[in-house]
Amino acid sequence: MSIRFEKVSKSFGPPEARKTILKDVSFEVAEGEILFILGKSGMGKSVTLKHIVGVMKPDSGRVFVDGKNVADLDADGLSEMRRSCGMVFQHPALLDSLSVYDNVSFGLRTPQFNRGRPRPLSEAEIRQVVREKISLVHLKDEILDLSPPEISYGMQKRVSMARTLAPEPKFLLFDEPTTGLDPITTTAVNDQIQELSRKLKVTSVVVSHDMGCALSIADRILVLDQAKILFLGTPKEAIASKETLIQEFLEETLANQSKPGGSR
Amino acid sequence: MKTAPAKNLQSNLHQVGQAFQEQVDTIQDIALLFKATLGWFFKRPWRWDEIFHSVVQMGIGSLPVVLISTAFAGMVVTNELAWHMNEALSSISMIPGVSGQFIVRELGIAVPAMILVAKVGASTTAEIGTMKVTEQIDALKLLGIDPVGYLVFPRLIAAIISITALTLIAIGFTLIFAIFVAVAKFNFGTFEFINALRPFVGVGDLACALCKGISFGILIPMIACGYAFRCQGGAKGVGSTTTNAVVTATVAVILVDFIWTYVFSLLL
Repeated sequence: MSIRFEKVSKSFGPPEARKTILKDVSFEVAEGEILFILGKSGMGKSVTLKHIVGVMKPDSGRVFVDGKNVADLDADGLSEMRRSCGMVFQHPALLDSLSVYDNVSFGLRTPQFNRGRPRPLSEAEIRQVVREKISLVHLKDEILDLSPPEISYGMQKRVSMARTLAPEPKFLLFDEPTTGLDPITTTAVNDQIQELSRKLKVTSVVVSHDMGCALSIADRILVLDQAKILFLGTPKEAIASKETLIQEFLEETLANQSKPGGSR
Repeated sequence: MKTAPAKNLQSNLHQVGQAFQEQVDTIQDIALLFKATLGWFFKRPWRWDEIFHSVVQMGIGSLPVVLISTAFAGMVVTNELAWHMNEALSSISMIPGVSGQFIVRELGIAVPAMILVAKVGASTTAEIGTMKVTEQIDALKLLGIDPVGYLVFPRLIAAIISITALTLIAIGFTLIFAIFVAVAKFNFGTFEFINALRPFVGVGDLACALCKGISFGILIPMIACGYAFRCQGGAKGVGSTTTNAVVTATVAVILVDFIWTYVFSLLL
């Protein structure tokens, strides 16, 4: 259940103004590991996640998920692989026309989820899974009948997590999960990422700006800069690193911690 | 070394080229989206609840504005034609034939089409464009749902049903108000107007209206969804994408209107 990048390169834009976002990027995320990908805006963090789920294809190089090259997968294979990946987006990405309950249960009703099962889940079983996941992200059943715009942004983010967890993915991918949240909710969401990853024993990749959180919950940290991997190592190694960008991240973390209500 | 005017010219030509390329790419994407959407005709189950919801939203929701606009258009056209005929021919006896044929072949179709481009096209692009920029479409893909089948196909079916029905209703309503003006202002009898209209309007005209209605029912949602799927850049991006979709759909509707008019002019 690992993720492996082999010399992945990706560029965008017209030929005369082509911008390279990833250049020969190689790394591996081991089974059950939590990898944090840090970097400034536009350094290819989200692009990396999109390569894992096959929303983007590399210009060169290969991306392996669970031992399979994503580029070689046909439509069914891609769909099956995506089912094994749960992704929490920067936005809650909930369907506004559906209730919270319908959003969380959405993935349990798809043909992909029911493929290989003797029978589709009954409504009672779906309700049980939804309640379980809603409680896992520390929300209450009362919100199930509400629509996403009727609950707070922080709650929407948690509902989004519950929706991601419902089909029991093998990989959890988080794209800046704490963007737009206040420091208290940010801490709560970060705690949940760790709790969920450990409790469900899934492989997790988290794209974030939050070095403080990365230091406290990541197994390893990967820093992207100028289309390349600037640093890949444990939190302890990150603290000891002399790289200027990492020092900047650490200084920013210390400054945030000294503020009242700042994150860890 | 290039002079400043030469550089400016090159830069302007480059921008025009880029804009043209962007349009070509968009049209190509719309064609591919249409092909993918057609594939859903053969897949089951159809999302009837969503189709019904969209029919209500597009069809019934647009009915009042379509009826009000076409009613006034019918009255204006009859009034204007009567004035011009009186001036040129000193006779208004041809009003039923001329205004009736104009309404059935063109006015009763073009006016609702423009309104539906603005209403249905804009709302569809804005809704799906917002879903695109807030990553709802990516979320659907990751949950194993094809956004074409989930979002585009029900809207296409609903638009074909609603826009065709609205076109036929609009023609009838425009005619009623044309008759109203002819009766109230120019002293025609209701049945006199209808009898005078009969030789000028036939089944071929209704077939032409039907073809146009179905074509607009396909064009408007496909252009709206095609642009929405390319939308990027937050609220500003949704705004500019919606504007571009409405402009393109307006031009496309007028072009297709002309093509059907030309085809039926050869047949009738």
